[in-house]
Amino acid sequence: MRYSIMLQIVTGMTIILLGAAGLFAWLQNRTPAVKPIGAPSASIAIGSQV
Amino acid sequence: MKRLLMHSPITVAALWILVYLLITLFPLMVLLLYPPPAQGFWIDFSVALGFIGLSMMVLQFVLTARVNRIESSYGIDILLQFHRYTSLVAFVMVLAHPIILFIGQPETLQLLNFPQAPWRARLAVLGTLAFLTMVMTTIWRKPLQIPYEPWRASHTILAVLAVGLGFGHAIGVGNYLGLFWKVVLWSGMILFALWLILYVRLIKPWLMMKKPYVVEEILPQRGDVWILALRPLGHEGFTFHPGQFAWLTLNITPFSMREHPFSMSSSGDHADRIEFGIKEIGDFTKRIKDYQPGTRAYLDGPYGVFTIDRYWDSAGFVLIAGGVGITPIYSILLTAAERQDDRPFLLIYAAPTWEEITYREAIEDLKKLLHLTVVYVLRQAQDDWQGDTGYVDRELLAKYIPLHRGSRHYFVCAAPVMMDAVEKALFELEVPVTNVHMEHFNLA
Ligand SMILES: Cc1cc2nc3c(=O)[nH]c(=O)nc-3n(C[C@H](O)[C@H](O)[C@H](O)COP(=O)(O)OP(=O)(O)OC[C@H]3O[C@@H](n4cnc5c(N)ncnc54)[C@H](O)[C@@H]3O)c2cc1C
Repeated sequence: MRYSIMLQIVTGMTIILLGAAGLFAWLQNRTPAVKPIGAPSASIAIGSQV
Repeated sequence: MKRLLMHSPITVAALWILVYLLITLFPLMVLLLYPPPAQGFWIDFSVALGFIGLSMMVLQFVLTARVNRIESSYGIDILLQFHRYTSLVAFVMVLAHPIILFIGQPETLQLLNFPQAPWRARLAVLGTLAFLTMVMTTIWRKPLQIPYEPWRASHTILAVLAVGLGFGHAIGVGNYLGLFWKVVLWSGMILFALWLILYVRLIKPWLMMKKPYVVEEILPQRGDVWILALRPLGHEGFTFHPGQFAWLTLNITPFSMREHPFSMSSSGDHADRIEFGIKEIGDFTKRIKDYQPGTRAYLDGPYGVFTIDRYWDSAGFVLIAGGVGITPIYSILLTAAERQDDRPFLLIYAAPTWEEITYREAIEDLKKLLHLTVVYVLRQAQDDWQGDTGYVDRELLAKYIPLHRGSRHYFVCAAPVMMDAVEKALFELEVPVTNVHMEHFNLA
């Protein structure tokens, strides 16, 4: 019983962790709303790859 | 209100889970500060999985380092089960990381060509292999017939290798760990894990060396059990909450890390004599009877949450023991008698035969000092036996446990099959899950 409750908790945590990985990738790859003039090359690269 | 909340197991669990998630995700989210160029959603997703897997691996070192504060919330068996489940999750994440990469950028498959692959890829392959070996030898330890101690030693070595090689791979790739301060942050985490290993393997044994014990006597008990009595040598020993256990090292240095967990069976309030009831089952336990008084011993403890001391407000207790599982429960009863505890205790005690009931006479004596009802359940009984026979199942429990189920706390310690059956039966009989406490003797 306790182990099955724990299994459910770990499943829930895994979903949160996967969500966080998705959020990480999304934040990295989203297009900046306004491309700042003279922004560092990294952010240009972000915009150009999406 | 605050006190109530802090004592609720659900609140405590929620807090620990939150802490776990924050510690796992913080180092990942930090990588988003001054990030390198994006590589497309799926590649970055796979990279995130790799980093999450790595921080989960680091946290495993904390989970298994016998940190008292964590352990005291749940107990070692729950912690180890959590360790097993989360290790599997970490393993799947670590595996998913290259698989997604291979699907997204098939040319990266070349990295598997070990002789020609760059070092960073070789480190990844070796790290994953170490992790794989660790998972396989743990899941199939018994079918593979790996004895416990070599398994434990190799488990530590493989864990250090997996984390070290995984981290080496991340630095080698240098994409997200391209900035010096990020490397410092992640190195700090990895070093912390290594420090924990050093602490467990070197510092702790050194501290134990300074507090030795000697064997005072070894006495036979019913049911192939030996009572091992220890006396502290040159220090005060320790008191404990009855039901707790300690890791015992006998006749060898604690640095050898060949220690075995045993519940104390004596009164928790007597630091000057600590007793264990040890059943003969394997290499170590079969040799107990051969040791002589005066033999050196070392203890690491007390540990565990299987104790009635945590439930001061409970109206009484239901104690369910099977075989040698009586040891922590006997300590609970003995200490309660000494403390003149006047609450009702119900002991349901399963044993193979009447002759094999460990501590039988002592338990009968305790009936005079405590409000104690004992129900013996024998597997094989003689014809004139009037008590219960068979297994501790739902019908038997329903016959004896109080109608107001939640008014008691239930402590179960027995062989794994019996523990599972009793746990299920108690659940079906509507005993609140939070009132059931179990001590698993079989950790691996
Ligand atoms: C919290 C706890 C309390 C315990 N209390 C008692 C007790 O009061 N009385 C009693 O007789 N037994 C107790 N045990 C069980 C006891 O630890 C094992 O029976 C003993 O370690 C077996 O060692 P062995 O070499 O004789 O047997 P083996 O045949 O080598 O091992 C049998 C099984 O015991 C476990 N085990 C073996 N060595 C270790 C080790 N170094 N660390 C952890 N587990 C190990 C493994 O699951 C193994 O499969 C307790 C176990 C735990 C976890």
